[in-house]
Amino acid sequence: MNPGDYQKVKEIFQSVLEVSEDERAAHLDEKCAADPAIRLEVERLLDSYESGYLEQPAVAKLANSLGSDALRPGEQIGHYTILEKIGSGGMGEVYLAEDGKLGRQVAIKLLPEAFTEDADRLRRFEQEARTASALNHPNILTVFEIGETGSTRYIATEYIDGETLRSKLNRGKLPVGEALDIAVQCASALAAAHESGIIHRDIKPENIMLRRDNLVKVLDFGLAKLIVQPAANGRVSQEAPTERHFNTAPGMIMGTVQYMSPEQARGHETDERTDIWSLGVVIYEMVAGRPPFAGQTSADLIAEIVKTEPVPLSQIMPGGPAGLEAIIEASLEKNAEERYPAVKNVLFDLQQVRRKLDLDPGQPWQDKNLKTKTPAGKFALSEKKTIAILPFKNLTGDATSQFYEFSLADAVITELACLRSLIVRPSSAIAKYLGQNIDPRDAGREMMVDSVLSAGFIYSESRVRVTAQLVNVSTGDIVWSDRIDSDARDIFALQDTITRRILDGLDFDLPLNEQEFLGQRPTKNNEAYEEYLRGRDKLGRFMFRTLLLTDCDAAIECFKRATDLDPEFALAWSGLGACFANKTSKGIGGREEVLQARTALEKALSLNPDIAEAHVLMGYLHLANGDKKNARAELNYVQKEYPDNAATYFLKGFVHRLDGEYDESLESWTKLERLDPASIALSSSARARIYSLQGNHERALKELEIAAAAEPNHPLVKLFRVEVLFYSGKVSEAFRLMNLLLDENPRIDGVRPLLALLLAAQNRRDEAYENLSENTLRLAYVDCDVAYWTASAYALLREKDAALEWLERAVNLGLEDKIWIQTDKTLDSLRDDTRFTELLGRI
Amino acid sequence: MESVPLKRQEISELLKAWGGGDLEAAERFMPLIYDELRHQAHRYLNRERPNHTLQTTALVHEAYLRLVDQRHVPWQNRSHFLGLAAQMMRRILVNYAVSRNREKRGGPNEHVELDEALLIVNDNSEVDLLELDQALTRLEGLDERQARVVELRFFSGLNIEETAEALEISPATVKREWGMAKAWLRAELSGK
Repeated sequence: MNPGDYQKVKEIFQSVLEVSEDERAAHLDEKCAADPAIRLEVERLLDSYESGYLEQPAVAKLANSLGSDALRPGEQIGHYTILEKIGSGGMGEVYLAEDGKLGRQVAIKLLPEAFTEDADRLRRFEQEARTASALNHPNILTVFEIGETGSTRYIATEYIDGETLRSKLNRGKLPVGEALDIAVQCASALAAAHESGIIHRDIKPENIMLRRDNLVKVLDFGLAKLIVQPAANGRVSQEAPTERHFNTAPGMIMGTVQYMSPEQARGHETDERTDIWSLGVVIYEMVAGRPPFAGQTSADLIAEIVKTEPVPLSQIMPGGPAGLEAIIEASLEKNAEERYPAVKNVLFDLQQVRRKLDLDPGQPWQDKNLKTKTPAGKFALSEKKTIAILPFKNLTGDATSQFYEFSLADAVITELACLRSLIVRPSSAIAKYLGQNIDPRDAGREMMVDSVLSAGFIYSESRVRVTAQLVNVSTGDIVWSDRIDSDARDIFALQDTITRRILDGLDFDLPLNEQEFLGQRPTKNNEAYEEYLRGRDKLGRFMFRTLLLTDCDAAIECFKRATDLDPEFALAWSGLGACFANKTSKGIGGREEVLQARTALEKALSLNPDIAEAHVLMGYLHLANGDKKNARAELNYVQKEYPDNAATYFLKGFVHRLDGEYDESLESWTKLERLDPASIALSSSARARIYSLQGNHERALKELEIAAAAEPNHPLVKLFRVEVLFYSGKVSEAFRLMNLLLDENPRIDGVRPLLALLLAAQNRRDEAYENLSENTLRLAYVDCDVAYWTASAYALLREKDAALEWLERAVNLGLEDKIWIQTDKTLDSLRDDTRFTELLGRI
Repeated sequence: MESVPLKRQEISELLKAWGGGDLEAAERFMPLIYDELRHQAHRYLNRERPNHTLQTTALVHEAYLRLVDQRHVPWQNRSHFLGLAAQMMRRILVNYAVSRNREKRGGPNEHVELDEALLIVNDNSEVDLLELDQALTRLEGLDERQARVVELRFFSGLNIEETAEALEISPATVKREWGMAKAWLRAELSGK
């Protein structure tokens, strides 16, 4: 072809385009009669003619990509220097950058300007992002800064060396154990966030980072707040995060729609249960290797989400743990009301499944106890009726009677706890609701009980009026509602009336042999009873909330006054003993406290042998006295007499650990957690110590993260973290945390021997000795763990005599975990000593 | 533009040299233009919100205007400028395609930072820029004006009216030329 021919082709081609398709053949015949080559060329062009071709200019694509990809290595944003781009998503580009001020690496996410135009929204986003970050939860990504440079807003966060769950899933489904580990950590992050009123609303694999050491980080809390969207039904919803992508980038949005809850998809109001749904979808996808809902278009997908039940996991993956399927089903209820009520319930069940899997990895778990498709509130794990008594509300706010809020509930709990055929949640479980305005049903779901008693009182000089109602958690029905008036001087009569009304309301046939427990006046002295209730209020504050010694001392004063007023008042003696015993177990105290506790508890039991609290504490005190035989006897007794009392399993888990019976101990902690969901920090910490002893440090740290999520500021959780870090070889990290802990809680001096151990491990001998003074060793004389730390510290300091003396003391105090003592490296310097061999032989 | 090592006057000289057929000159300042394009594109994308439309023509113009000291370039008129800019864009994009291919073969890679942009261009369109460039060169031999239309429309992002203005022909003619040029290029590239 030459230019001349091309001009001919052009002329004919353009004329052909002007005639209709039917006439084209004839037209071509006429125009090209003389030149078949020209005709061929015209036909070739007509075949290739397509209006859309090349319509998207190359420069536009280039410019678009340049425009959104704004930063290059070396560029500055704020005081950060961009190192490289590490990702991009609907919410903006992400870069690895270096913080010039602090010399650390951070991740910088640029927020597309469209998301930051609304100042209100931006403020709310910032607030949520900061609040979530401030939780200091190990599974929530830390936000360092939300900054602005020019027109660009960015978020600087902790940099995670790892990958997103999305990229992991791109390589295929995950083993169930691994999926559960990830799920548990996500649930833990969400539980902590929900607790602070923050809902994520955009949980998806892209927002879940997996660090190289398997720690999970949930990203982008609050970010969903930035996006307004008209939802699928055309109504404007402020809540669902995805719609903007709907219209702009169909490929991108599909990924996100996948995880939307039905209420989000419909543009309805959403609450924390929307996160439960999304988490359920993520778990399903991790285990099944494909998402539960699929569709060609986002509209199809939404229809699936709203209407279709996913294929049961057991069909995709036969032989998987049955409990897991139940969790997914209860998370993927279309109707939020029928879903799990709170993510902490999901967390609890996930942990159960994970533990079962650990105990018996070969066998798929068929335990149907974990409720399937359970309507809210039916998560109880036992056939016995379960009830929780909420703190009584002080309706007038009268300060003098404030102590009744906790103590009246506590007293009713104590009375009900005597009944073997009913499970009542312990006072530790309700302490957190003090002063809270919580819906009784929500509280009931959280505590996994059938019924909840919710009450308020009005106190005036001589009269108390209590208004109470018993609520059925699963139906929401009010079983009864009543006003009970009483003489303000006879609080016990009031409490007993409430107790009986509860039993009536539960339609509960009390076995004859249990009826005697009711109505027994613990004291004839009303004044003593009031002091007793004050003491319980203070003790509860100390144990469950403040750990302030002043609260404990105030409780001691009240119980002492009560026993002065009525020396026969067994429960008050028990309370007094509990004060001293708890001081010791919380790291404050020594021999003297143990002795005082023992005296008080023996007195209590001599007056009334049926006080569960006193028996459990006696078991603990026997250990502190090095009397393991009696500790075991006490344990056997409480196991038989109080099988549904949470504290029983505290003693059991403790004793089994000391005996090196790790599996039994782990089981006890799990049982404790079932009976007292509020004990999760305690039970997780206890499990952590066992995993640490088994050398599974990673698992131990995970348990501690769960504990920290439940109680971020609890000194004992931190203390055990120090211990686990030390035994995993992270001495300097343990040391830093220990110092922080002692700064924050100077009173728990008793644990200084652990600090001494850390110092000895760093060969800081002088400082180590300073922390092994007679004063800091007070607790070591009564606590086998502290004694063991002391022995270890001396062993590292090459003080053989002292080390062996303390080791013997630890063994005498009950620490008879032979294998651990044989293998613990900190004791290596003692092994060639005959005294060491003899000591081991004695165990 | 502190980062630009060459002074505006030098760039203008280079541009002039290139206009006079010195291909080396283009090689030297293309990275600068790329830089400037990135800068402008980002500015535009931010400023033009919320409607998101990127005014590519304005963008390209601004990039050139900022780079070039116009006193030193013998712009005859606006259409001359637009034509030159379009040729420049074509060279830029094709050059990157070449360096990208070179990298794929494992050879030395002088334009690492540009790969990403090119990847996007290649991924989103079904057009192989190198093949298109070669076909366009053949089209130049057959019909110079159609080739210019393609440069202006596809490489520089001008619309029909702007293209008509640049070539000083009617929009209807642009439409016809554009339609046929596209059909021809598509036929060539699909091997028909």
